[in-house]
Amino acid sequence: MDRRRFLTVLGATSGGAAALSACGIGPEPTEHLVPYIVPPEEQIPGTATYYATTCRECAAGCGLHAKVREGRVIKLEGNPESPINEGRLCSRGQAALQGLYNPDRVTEPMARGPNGEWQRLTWDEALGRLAAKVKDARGRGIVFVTGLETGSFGDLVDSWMKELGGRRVAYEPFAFEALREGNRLAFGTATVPFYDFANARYIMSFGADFMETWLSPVGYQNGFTRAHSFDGDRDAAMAKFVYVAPRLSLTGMSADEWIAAQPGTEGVLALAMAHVILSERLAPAPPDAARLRDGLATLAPEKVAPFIGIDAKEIRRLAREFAGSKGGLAVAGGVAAQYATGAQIVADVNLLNYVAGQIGKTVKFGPNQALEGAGSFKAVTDLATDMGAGKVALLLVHGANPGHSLPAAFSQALGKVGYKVSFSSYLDESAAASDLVLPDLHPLEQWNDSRPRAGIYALQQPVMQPVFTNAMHAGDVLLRVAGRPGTFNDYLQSRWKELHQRFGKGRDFSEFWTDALQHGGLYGEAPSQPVRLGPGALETLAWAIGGNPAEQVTLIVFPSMALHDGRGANKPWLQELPDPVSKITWHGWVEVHPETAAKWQLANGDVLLLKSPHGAVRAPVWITPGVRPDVLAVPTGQGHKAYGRYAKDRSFNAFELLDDKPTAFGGRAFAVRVSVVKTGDHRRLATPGSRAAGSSKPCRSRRRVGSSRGRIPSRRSRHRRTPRTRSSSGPRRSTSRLHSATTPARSRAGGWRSTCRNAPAVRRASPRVTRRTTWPRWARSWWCGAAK
Amino acid sequence: MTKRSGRAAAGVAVALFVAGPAAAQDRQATPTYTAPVISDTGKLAGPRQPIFFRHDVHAGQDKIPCLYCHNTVTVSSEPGIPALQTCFGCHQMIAGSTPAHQAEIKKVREAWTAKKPPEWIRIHALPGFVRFPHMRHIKVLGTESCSTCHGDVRTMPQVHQFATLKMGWCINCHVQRQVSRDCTLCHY
Repeated sequence: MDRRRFLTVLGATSGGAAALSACGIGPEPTEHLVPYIVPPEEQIPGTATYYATTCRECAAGCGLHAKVREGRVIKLEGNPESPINEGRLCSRGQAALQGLYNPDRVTEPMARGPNGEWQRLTWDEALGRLAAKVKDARGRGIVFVTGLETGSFGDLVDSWMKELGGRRVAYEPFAFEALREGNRLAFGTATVPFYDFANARYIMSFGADFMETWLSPVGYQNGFTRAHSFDGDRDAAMAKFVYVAPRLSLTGMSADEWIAAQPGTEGVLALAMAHVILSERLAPAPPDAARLRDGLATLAPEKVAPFIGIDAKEIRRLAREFAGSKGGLAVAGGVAAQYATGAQIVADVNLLNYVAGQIGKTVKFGPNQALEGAGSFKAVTDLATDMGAGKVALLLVHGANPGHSLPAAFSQALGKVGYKVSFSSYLDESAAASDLVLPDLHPLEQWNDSRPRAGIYALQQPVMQPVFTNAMHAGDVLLRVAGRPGTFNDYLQSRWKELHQRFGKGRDFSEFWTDALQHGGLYGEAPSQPVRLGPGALETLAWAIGGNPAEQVTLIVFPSMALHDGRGANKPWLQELPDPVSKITWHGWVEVHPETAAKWQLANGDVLLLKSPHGAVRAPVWITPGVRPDVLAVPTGQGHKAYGRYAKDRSFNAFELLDDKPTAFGGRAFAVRVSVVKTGDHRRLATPGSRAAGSSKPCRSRRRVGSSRGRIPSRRSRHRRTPRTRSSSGPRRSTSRLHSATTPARSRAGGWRSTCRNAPAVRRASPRVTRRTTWPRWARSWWCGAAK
Repeated sequence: MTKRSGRAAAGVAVALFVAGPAAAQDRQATPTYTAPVISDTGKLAGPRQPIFFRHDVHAGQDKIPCLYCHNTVTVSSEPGIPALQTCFGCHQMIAGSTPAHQAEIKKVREAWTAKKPPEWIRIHALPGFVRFPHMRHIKVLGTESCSTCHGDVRTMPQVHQFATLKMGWCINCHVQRQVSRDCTLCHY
């Protein structure tokens, strides 16, 4: 057989064609055109269709535009019409797609078999089983755990539970209980107001990470950007932003000034500022603010300054700036609202807003964040107690994963529950421990609505056919089990008929409904309501003088920007998204101040065993001047025991360190005392650029050993010499051998030795390299100076 | 759903009143085309498709307009291929006149029942780095201009590639019609 004939024969078979074209010769491989069986509605091949819906990745409820090509949603962007996010969307919202197409989704109903293995069920079997269990458990305790559901689904659950004599427990690990309780203390209303960042002239955040997870991060980022820029309709005055917290978050890094007050004294600082504003008459305070004068008398900056840890002059300056701006906005949240005394701190910060006359201006009660339905940590711990006492015969879980965020108490109590049903789309910790899993549709595939803020009615519509056709909307499941007619869509529309009567403006319902769907909902303005000092306001002051919160804190647990409370951990986009502060991907870490690290002789990546009275975790060290020396900080989100291939068994679960008991205000304390043990283990921190010398982004303090002859270059020359990477230098491990006398690599002058703090791997790779125990002065001054 | 069933109904209607458009064509005195009986499909040009769908019967003899099935050609870069629902819309009623036709139509019905669409072999394929917007060409050349690039599909029992679809061929036409030859017109 000659060559030509060989190729002819080979080319005739499709495998041969593929093989040939893989070599760069021969025809293109055969393409197939596979038609739809039934074409998706409104789809034109080659062009995108956009649907308006609502993001359900956190409680903020941003409006979405879903880009759909050929019947598959391919991109999410913010809905410009939504007053919440005004066309913007955060990384968690963008990554909702990976929840939709997640390979670890539960595709069909499953039940635990006799030996604990999962058995597939048909929907008729599954619904029959659920109905039987509901009938069984009636009167013996039925509890439905949901996430924050402010719309029709929540109401359906409520009405069904009422019918059965059960109860609904809403559970959000970050439910802002302290904000609600703090507002009740100060103003007698347990609501969360709207904070008008856009019109603020001076912003003080007491721990509130409003750019990451606090309330409505996208909306508040928008507002902050407007306030903190020179353009816009205002005169050229950029609002100053001061951040008060023991740890520098992304929000803190965007601030003009960072004040690392003693943890737990944020409230005292706010009150001392209020004292200055009142005594120096810096702002036209409301008449009843005079009631506070006596209480505040003991909180003069000079008296409390040592307690807070900053200078009294500084406090007076802050107060004058805040009041003098005539547009001050003080917000409390995040770390500051997560101490055991969080609610008081929030109340104190409210008082600062009040005496500066800003309530009703930058802090607007009325268009409240709909968090009343977010439940409280106390309700969940009460539930865990009931479960442990055998008072719960049937537990249904939807949109919450208490098995991850309440690892000890809840998971143990689960064993005492008669029958556990999960509506989760993924086998998370709570679903894995349940007896029956009825996979819900993804929020992008289902009908629902929500009220993220007073005056706003956001609609969710399916933007595509379900990815897994054998999943069922939990609302439809409930309707069928409850024996009610119609689908959940009918139920939703019947509720929107009420809105139609209020807002319909004479249009018929179908027109009103289509219009609302096209725009993503109804966007109204709730009127601002005045508030006055509540009866509890003075008690707040009493606490501030008496307490000594400084003793309480050593470790704070903060919500991860990307993974939030852990629900983002099964999405690789979020896993590989570098944390905006530490740049770490795919794992958790503990933040340690350089001085503390020097004292304990730690390097980046050394694994510490952190032990609290409630649990212990092993966490690699990340040394940063962005945390107080007496504070350690760890992010939430990782350490799943289930929840799919991307989340499972990755790093540590910070929730394990926390107390399972609620605080006095019904929330959870995210600050605990820990003891620290060096394990002697080490791991390489997964940061971009720390992997190989051939990476495209050189570490900025990497220096050239061969040419500088070991001399530490000056800061300026170091910058000038920021090396261009060379593809020939190979992986960084080999360059570290520069220090080893035995390896030939030493002669290769021009390799890069790393002095970058983010890349301890280089130093670790060769045992001969001595680890630095104290930080060189240049490194200290450079980093600490940069952070100031 | 109403739209879908409406479309299916429209399909049936067109199938039942095929005589209608044909009569209109007659008035314009276009010659009627009768699709030949194919005894040896092996001799036909072009790849053999999973179902022996005859463009010459549908578009030639029955005079169904191209846009009836390739209906997104005027609005999208992709002309679209008909969904199985479109095929079944007519062939729910039309079973075929000869045993050969009946055998092929049976495949369509079976595919519909099994919800397994046929995997057509693509004939006109461009590399990924070229963009060809159908709608712009149709806008300029008209909805009857398909044959300029695809050949007279109305007489093809089995569709084969008519033009080379190579860059020189594209440019040639662009030169003749004095339209843009900017690289980024197609490569972007």
